[in-house]
Amino acid sequence: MRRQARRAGCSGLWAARALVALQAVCVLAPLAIIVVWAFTASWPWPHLLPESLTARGIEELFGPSQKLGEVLGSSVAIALACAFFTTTVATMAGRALSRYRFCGREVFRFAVLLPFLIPATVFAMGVQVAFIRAGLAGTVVGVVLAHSIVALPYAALIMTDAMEAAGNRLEEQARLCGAGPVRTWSGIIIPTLLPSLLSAASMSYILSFSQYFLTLLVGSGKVKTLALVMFPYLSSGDRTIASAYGVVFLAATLVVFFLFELLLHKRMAREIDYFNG
Amino acid sequence: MRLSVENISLTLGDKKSARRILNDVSFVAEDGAFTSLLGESGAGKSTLLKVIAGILLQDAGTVRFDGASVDGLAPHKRRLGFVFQDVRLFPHMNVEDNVAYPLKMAGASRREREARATELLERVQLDGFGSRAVQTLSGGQAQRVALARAIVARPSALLLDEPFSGLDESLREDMRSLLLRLQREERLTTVMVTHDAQEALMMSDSIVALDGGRVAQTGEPQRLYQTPATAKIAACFGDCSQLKGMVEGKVFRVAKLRIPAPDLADGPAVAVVRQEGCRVAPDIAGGRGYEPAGEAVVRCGVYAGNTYLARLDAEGQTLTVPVERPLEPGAIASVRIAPESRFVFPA
Repeated sequence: MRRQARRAGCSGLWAARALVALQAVCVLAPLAIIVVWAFTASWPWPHLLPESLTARGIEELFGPSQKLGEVLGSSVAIALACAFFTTTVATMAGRALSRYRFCGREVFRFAVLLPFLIPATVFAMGVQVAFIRAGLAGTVVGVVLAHSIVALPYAALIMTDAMEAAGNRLEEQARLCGAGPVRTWSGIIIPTLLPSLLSAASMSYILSFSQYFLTLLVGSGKVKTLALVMFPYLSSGDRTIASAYGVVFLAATLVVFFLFELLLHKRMAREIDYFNG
Repeated sequence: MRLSVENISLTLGDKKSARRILNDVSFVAEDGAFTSLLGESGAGKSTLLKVIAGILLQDAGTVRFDGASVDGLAPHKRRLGFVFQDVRLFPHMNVEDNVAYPLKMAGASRREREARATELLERVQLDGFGSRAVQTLSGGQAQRVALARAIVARPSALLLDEPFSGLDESLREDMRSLLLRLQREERLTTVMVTHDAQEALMMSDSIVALDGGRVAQTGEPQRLYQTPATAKIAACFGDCSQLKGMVEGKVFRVAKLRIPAPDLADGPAVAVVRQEGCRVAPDIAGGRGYEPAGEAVVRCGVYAGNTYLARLDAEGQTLTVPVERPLEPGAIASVRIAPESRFVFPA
């Protein structure tokens, strides 16, 4: 009986390991192929390995005409600004939705999620018209705002759920300990919500960083991001340079995510438990 | 600080589901006294405590600290210590930072905060726990930290919302004596919400009994115990039986049981009989202090450790009486009840 149970346990463990391995392969294999393609001159089918290698992608990437540093800097800055702005708005929306009962609350909840339902191209057209009228087209602020509208539903969902789970228990306790509204936010609410805030910020960052069509339309080609520079190589079929950009894209994202994680672990040495805190 | 609550009324919920939680509630907690708000679930006692703290705003009435109204004062400006039943320690701070938090909010220096937090942790028997994460504490330890945090900044009053109901009975006793010791040492005006009447009796200088959002009775514990104003208050102290019957000619009657009711007019009534003052005839033959109260049929008997309990039938209702030896089902028992253990109220 016990042996049977142990055997069942073993097979379960092996199944779990196999699934994890399969998932790792599914994620890592395409990434590995991108890295290989960045250095590949030709890789015709059905060859298993590249036929010839080249440094053309890297040379092009770091060539003076590409202004990689500038493009990368503006991409990261726009994505960070979008992450900060979106998370701030999402936190306020989450607070309003989770805490207050007001007329039109359900309409507001639906309105926050509305960009989910509208196709990106339709949305981009509408935003472009509105932003041209508002004088925001072709500006970094306009691009950040447009990206934020796209990222807001995701961030708002995360923050509303987090705030509903956290409730107002610790906030009440802080007020009764003598903390005013500002110190309650800075000392209690934000630190306890930090994991969710960073999740919302990460989600907004990646959405902004990978936006192409919206950036093209709202930025009118004047605001250059990595996705914008990479796209022509992808559409023209130049896999070597497109992959080289892909590697930079990946590395930049990973570095920012690593910094987010570092911040989380530095600030949150202890586990947050909304329910037993 | 003398805390007075005057004619507080509060309705919660939206228009469709509005419910009157507090209805013209008034009481006074004297300076340095321990006052308990006693009542069953839904009586409005926790809501009242939140009104005192300023977390909820009343629709009518006034809360006064030393005679001055605090109605317009935000919770963080009322200088209160508050212990919730669910502890509410801040999960991102260690034990010492939790205890010192009110001092930090009051602008105390780091050295002062550390010294006072260490002192308080010693006084709640948690010395050496300062650097521990709050997640590693047991229920009793966490409640002690919450208590230390509530009194660390020398608040003008300490409010406690069922602070011991999440603890084991053995721990509760320790916590009660710890709380009383700290309350007396600090001379803190204390208001504690509890549904445990025995706890209220043992700890309080004064009890406010709430029922359905209204004050049912206030006074010293002895007064509520000896002359309860309602059947619910009479029934909440210890084991007792409640019987519905009729008052006819100043006597409460149900089946063949008779209980004097000299102050009541004829009509339906409820009698509350405390077990400790109720016996059957053979057990106290000639005993003083017990008066005959008629007869009842024994339905069954149960073993209750230090005694047996006989369940007597009174028109389908049960009168439970402690007996020295088990009685045969179907036997007729002659009931005797001590005057101080029987209460009759209009139904």
